[in-house]
Amino acid sequence: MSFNLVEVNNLTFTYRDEKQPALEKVSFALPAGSWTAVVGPNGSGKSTLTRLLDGLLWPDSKHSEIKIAGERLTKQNVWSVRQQIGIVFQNPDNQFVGATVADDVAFGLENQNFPPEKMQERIEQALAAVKMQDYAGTEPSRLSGGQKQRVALAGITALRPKLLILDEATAMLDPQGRRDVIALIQQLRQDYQLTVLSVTHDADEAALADQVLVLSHGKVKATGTPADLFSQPDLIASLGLKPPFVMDLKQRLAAKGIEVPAEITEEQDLVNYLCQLSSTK
Amino acid sequence: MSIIFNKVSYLYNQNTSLEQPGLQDVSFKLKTGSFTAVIGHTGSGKSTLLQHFNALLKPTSGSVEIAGFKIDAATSNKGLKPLRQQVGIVFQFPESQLFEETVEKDIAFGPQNFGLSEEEAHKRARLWLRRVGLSQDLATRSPFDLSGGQMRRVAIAGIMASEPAVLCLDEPAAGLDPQGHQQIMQLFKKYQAAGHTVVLITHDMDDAARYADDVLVMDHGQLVKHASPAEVFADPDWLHRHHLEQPATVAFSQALARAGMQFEHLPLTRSELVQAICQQVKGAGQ
Amino acid sequence: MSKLIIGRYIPGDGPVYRMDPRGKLLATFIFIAIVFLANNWQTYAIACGFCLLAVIATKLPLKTFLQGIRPLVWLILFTALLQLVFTTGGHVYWHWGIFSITSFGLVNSIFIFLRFLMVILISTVLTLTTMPLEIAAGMESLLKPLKYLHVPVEQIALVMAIALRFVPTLMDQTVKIMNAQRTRGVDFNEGGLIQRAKAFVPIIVPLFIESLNVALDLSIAMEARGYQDDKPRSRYRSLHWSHYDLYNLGFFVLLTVLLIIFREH
Repeated sequence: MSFNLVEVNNLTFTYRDEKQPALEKVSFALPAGSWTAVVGPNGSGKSTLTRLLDGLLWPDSKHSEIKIAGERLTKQNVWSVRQQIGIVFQNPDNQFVGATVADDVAFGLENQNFPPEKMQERIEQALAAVKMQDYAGTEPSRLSGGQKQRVALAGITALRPKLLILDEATAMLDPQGRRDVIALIQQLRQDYQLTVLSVTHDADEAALADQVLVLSHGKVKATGTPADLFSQPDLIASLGLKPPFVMDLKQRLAAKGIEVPAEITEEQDLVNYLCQLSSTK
Repeated sequence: MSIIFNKVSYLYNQNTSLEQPGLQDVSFKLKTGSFTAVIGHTGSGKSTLLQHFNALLKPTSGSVEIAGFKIDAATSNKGLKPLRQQVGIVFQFPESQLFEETVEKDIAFGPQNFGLSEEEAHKRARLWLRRVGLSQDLATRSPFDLSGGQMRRVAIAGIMASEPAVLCLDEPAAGLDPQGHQQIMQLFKKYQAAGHTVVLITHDMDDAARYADDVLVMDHGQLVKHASPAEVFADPDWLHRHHLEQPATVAFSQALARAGMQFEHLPLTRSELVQAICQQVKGAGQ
Repeated sequence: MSKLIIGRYIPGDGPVYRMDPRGKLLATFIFIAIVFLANNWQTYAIACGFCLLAVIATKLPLKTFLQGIRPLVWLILFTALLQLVFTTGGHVYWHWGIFSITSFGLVNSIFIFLRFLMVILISTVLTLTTMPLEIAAGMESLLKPLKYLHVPVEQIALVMAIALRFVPTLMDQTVKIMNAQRTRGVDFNEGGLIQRAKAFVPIIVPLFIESLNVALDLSIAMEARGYQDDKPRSRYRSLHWSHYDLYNLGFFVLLTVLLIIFREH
């Protein structure tokens, strides 16, 4: 935990034909093994950020710096740096390249010129890790969105990256699929010592993070723990996030004159507190 | 006129080796002017059910009575326009149906197909553009220049501008931010209040509890429960067996009840819950 | 649509399934060529017998193949009929204007009918027993020599494989958009030709836009997953010859020899 897997300094990026930069002087660090959530309204630069980290876009000037595992990202080393990064995108269908589940997991390995004789074992392992081993020969059109995202995760873990980027990876899933994928990511994170960066609109997903990075109009507006963030209802609303149930209820109660202490953040604690309040007449 | 499903079964790929049941013996009756939520996990048959509301699919056996039409296996594919004028469906991610040069033309497309004059249809289009909460300036823009949330509203306006007696919605708020979500749901609630029937497919149990007065629960192509939200959401174990969750409000109220708080009836919405808590706590304090 | 058998893969375990797609592709092409060697009853009988063997070796029910032929049966009959009434020579059974039925015509039309049938059957054997992906891989391998002419064979093969992968996705999308537009009052069964053609604009435009979105997303996802078009890539699906391919080869040598021996010179 002592070193930073990712360091970003002074990152500025402007899309062609645009006057306003999509990102402006953004700096942050991701400690190795940590989970960071990036939140912000649409158009705040969240997806641009993930693309810059992966070298799919390039910053405006040389003063911007992205370091991954101590190495500065340049056009020369982008392909080797990219091997350390796996991204799961939002649309489950539009990142599924293979004609079958196994072929899709193989795609990344093929790109790295991975020895074919070892491929089968690696693919089976990766599919077992995401509990999709029974679907190796299945075509994508027969899978649910959640299953496709699990295959995407298998394709990534097969390559053993250090950084996992989730670019609204659960946004198009149903609640069950979302829960499955999030639980899986937590498991994979432990098994493969992954550092996670998740761009999300989902407050429950953000709540899992060690730190939250709030982007607004291309700038870092705030950083802190999820608890810090969720204690600022106005900020949450301005970000277009749905506050977690307990936070929302506390605010509604406060508006009616029932102040609940800030340290109560769990549902059961709130239940106990309210019942105590009603019985002490 | 109410909506009646009478022993409706549907087989996909009938008479081929890929034959698969989509619906099995589904019967129910929905009152005119009601707001019905259809819930069930992915693949439970909700979308198949929805396509029976305006004869996009016809029952393999059984019949559907809706808006004065009766649809069964023998119904012809021709002459269904009047039915579709009466029964509008907003599909999942409806923004993918936009195709016209301008927003206004796209919204007017449906009404015009249903026989409104061009002038009348465009008047409707501008009306509904406003009702879905979009600025009139957008009317002359290309729908493909809009943001995802705006495109969604244009697509919804494109169905509502025909002012169907029955409005069916498949996850209309998926992917919208909380404000947009609430605005669009209020719009549907208002449409119901004006005397129309609304059917909402949703994964969001909070929405089902908050907006619906009637709930259909689907599982494996069968209707497993048809009851009021309070009844459907009261039993967490039953819901789990059908891969569903309780709304957060209901789960919390029940936790309070177990810890000793008493409710006259189960709060379904957050404001009801807060009110109930205030009665208990403040009443005690005074 | 779903009843169309041609071009469909059906999983199975007959000997043909174990043959290498390259071998099967070559065999199909060769068969289509050498079937023209047949020119009398003996050679047609041999070719038909061989064709039947191939069908049996798939271990799929005969019904499946009949289903495959059914949509084409009118085309075959029509071709045979043309042959029947326009061929002259031999004994004349019937005559009307430029049309006549002769003994030569009768024999010829039966031969044409059989040839057509065999070509369809053999192609169906290939597609029923070989995944589209394998066909693409087989094509790629067979076209490899073209690389020396700077034809980007590998890229073409990848494009083919991805196109095949997205066929079901875009089909689903098409159905979805058609349903949405039907709901907005589009009637695809109504009106004259022009009106019907116009009804497809609301389908084509969204489909085109969707395809563009898929292409954009996919290209980014592929790059993120390390795809470089000018770098060597290893292959998960390597093709291997097995003893089944020897049978395949043996049968074809035998067939060619038999056809050459028994054909009328």
